[in-house]
Amino acid sequence: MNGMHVLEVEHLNIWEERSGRVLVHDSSFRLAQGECLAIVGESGSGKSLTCKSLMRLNRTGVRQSGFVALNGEDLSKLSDKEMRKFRGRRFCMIMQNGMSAFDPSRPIGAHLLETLGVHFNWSRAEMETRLTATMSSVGLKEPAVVMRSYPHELSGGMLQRVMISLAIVLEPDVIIADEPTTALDAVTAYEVVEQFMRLRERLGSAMIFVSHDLGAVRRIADNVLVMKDGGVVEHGTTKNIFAGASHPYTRYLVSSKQAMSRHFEQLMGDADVAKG
Amino acid sequence: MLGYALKRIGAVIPLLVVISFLTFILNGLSPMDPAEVVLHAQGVPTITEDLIAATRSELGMDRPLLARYWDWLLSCLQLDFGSSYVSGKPVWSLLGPALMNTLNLTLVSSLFIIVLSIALGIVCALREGKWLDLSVRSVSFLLTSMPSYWLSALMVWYFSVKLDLLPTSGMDSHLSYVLPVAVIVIGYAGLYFRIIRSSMLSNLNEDYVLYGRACGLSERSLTIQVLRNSLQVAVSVFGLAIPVILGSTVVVENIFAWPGLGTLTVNSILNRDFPIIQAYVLVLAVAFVLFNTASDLLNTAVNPKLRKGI
Ligand SMILES: Nc1ncnc2c1ncn2[C@@H]1O[C@H](COP(=O)(O)OP(=O)(O)OP(=O)(O)O)[C@@H](O)[C@H]1O
Ligand SMILES: [Mg+2]
Repeated sequence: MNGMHVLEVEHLNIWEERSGRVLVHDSSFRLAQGECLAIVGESGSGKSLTCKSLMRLNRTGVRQSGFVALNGEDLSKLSDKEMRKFRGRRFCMIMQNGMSAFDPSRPIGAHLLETLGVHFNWSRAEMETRLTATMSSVGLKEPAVVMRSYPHELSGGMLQRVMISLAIVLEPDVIIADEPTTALDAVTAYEVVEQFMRLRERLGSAMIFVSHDLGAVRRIADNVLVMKDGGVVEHGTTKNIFAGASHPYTRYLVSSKQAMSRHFEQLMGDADVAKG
Repeated sequence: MLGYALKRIGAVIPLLVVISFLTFILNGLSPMDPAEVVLHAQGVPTITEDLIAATRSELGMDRPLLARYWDWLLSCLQLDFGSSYVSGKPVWSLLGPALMNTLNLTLVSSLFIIVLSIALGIVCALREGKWLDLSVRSVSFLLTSMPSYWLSALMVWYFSVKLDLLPTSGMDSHLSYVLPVAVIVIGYAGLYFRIIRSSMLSNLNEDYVLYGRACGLSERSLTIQVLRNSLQVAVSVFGLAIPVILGSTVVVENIFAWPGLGTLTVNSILNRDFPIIQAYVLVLAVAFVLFNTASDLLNTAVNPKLRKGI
C-alpha cells in the first residue's frame, strides 16, 4: 500500500461493549519513518485507549474497529499469536509509571531477559552484554546492580531509563510512550525527554509521545494530534500548532501551558550551559 | 533473614508473657470465689467459711498475686496446668489429647480450605464474569450463608442416616473426618476463595501485566507473575485463618461429638472448671501468636518489598 508510512490508522473507533458508549471515534493518523507524533488532550480524552488499541491491548469489554497497519500490514488480520510476536519486537511501549510497570516480586533483569528471550535467539551472555551497553548509554550507572534490583529499589527516572534501554535493544518500528514523564519530577522529566530524543536519533523509529507537558512536546514532536472527548480536534505540525492553532481548544491548551514550560525550559537551558 | 527471624521470635516473648498474665488473672474475674467453686464442683454438701478458708490455703490462693503467677507460669511451661476441679485429673491429661484431636481436625480442614480456595480463586479470576465464575460464586455464597449446625444436621441426615455411608459422630476412623471437615471447609472456603480471587483480579489489572503483554510475554508467564503476587496475600490471610479455624471448631465438635478442645471447653464452661478454661485460653492464644509469627516470617521470605526493610 503506502510504503512511506510506518503506521497507518484509519477510522479507529473504540467503544465499551456492554454500554455501547463510544470512547474514541473515527480517529485517523499516519506516522512516517522516524516521525514523532505527540498526542495531547485533557484527561479522559482517549489517548491511552488509542495507544493500547494499536497493539490490541485493550481490556476485554473494550472493542475496537478500523484499520491499523504497520508497514502496510493490516494488524486486525493477525491472530493473537502473531500479534504477540509484534508486541515488544515491532511496537515498544514505555509506561507512565515505572514503579508499577514491573513485576514487584522479580528483579528487573528477569523481565528484561524474558522479553529478549521471547523475541531473539540470543544466548544469555549476549543479552546481558547488549542490555548492559544500552543501559550505560542512557545514563544508568552500574547496569548489573540495576538488573539485580527489584522495582521498588529503583527510582521512577531509573525505571523509565530501563524501559528506554529495553526499547533500544528491541529496535522496534514504533515506540509508544504514554505519558512517560508525568510521574517524574521536573528535572528528571527533562532528562528523560532528552533520552527520548536520543533514542529517536539512534533507532530512527517512529514514535507516539503522549504527554501533558507541552514543553516536552515542543522539543520532541514533529507533529501534534489534539484529542478531546474521544475525537481528534486538530492535527498539524508542531510549529503550526504552537504558532497559531485553528481550534479554540488547542489554543486554550497552548496558551495555558506555554508560559509555564517556557520558564522551565529557560531554567534547564541555563543549567545545561553551566554544566557543559 | 535469620537475624530478622530471631528478632521477630524474640519480640513474641513479651507478648506471650502479657497473654499468660491476662489469662492468669482471668480466673479472678469470676464472680465466685475459686475456693467455693472447687467445693461446689467437688459436690461438698455444706460449705462453711472455715472450709473455704482451708481450701484457699490448700490451693495456695492466699499468697500474693505475682508469686502465684510466677509459680503458675513455671508449671505451665512444664505443661502442668493444675488439676481439673471436677474430675481431679491433671488438666494436661485432658487437654493434651483433646488439643491433638482438634489440631488434626483443624489442619486437615485448613489444608482442604487452602487448596480449594486457591484453585477456585485462580480459576474464577481467570474466567471473571463467565458462567463458571458466576456459578462458583453463587454456589459458594449459598453454602457459606448456611449456619453450620443446620448444614451439619442436613449432612448427617443424608450421608449417615439415609445413605448410611458415614459415621454420625465420634472419631473412630478416617471416615469420621469426612463430615466435620466438610462442614468446616464449606463454612470457610467461600470466604477465603473470594479473597484469593479479588487479589488475583486486582493484580491482573496492574500495570505490570499490561507492560508484560506489551513486551510480548506469554499469557502463561504473566499468569505465573500474577499468581506469585496474589499468593503473598494468601500467605498472610491463611496464617491468620488457621488459628481462627482452630478456635471456631467448637460448634462442629459439639455437633459431631468430636473429642477435641471445643467439646472439652463447653463442658468445662458449664461446670465452671476454671483450670481447664484457663489452659484452653492460654493454649489458643499461644497458637494464635505462633501461627501469626510463622506466617509473618513466611511472608517476609517470599515478598522482596518486605524483605528490604529488615
Ligand atoms: N477498560 C475500560 N472500560 C471502559 N471505559 C474505559 C476503559 N478504559 C478507559 N475507559 C474510558 O475511556 C475514556 C478515555 O480513557 P483514556 O485512558 O484513553 O484517557 P486518557 O486520554 O489516556 O486520559 P489520561 O490523560 O487521564 O491518561 C475515559 O473516559 C475512560 O473512562
Ligand atoms: Mg492515559
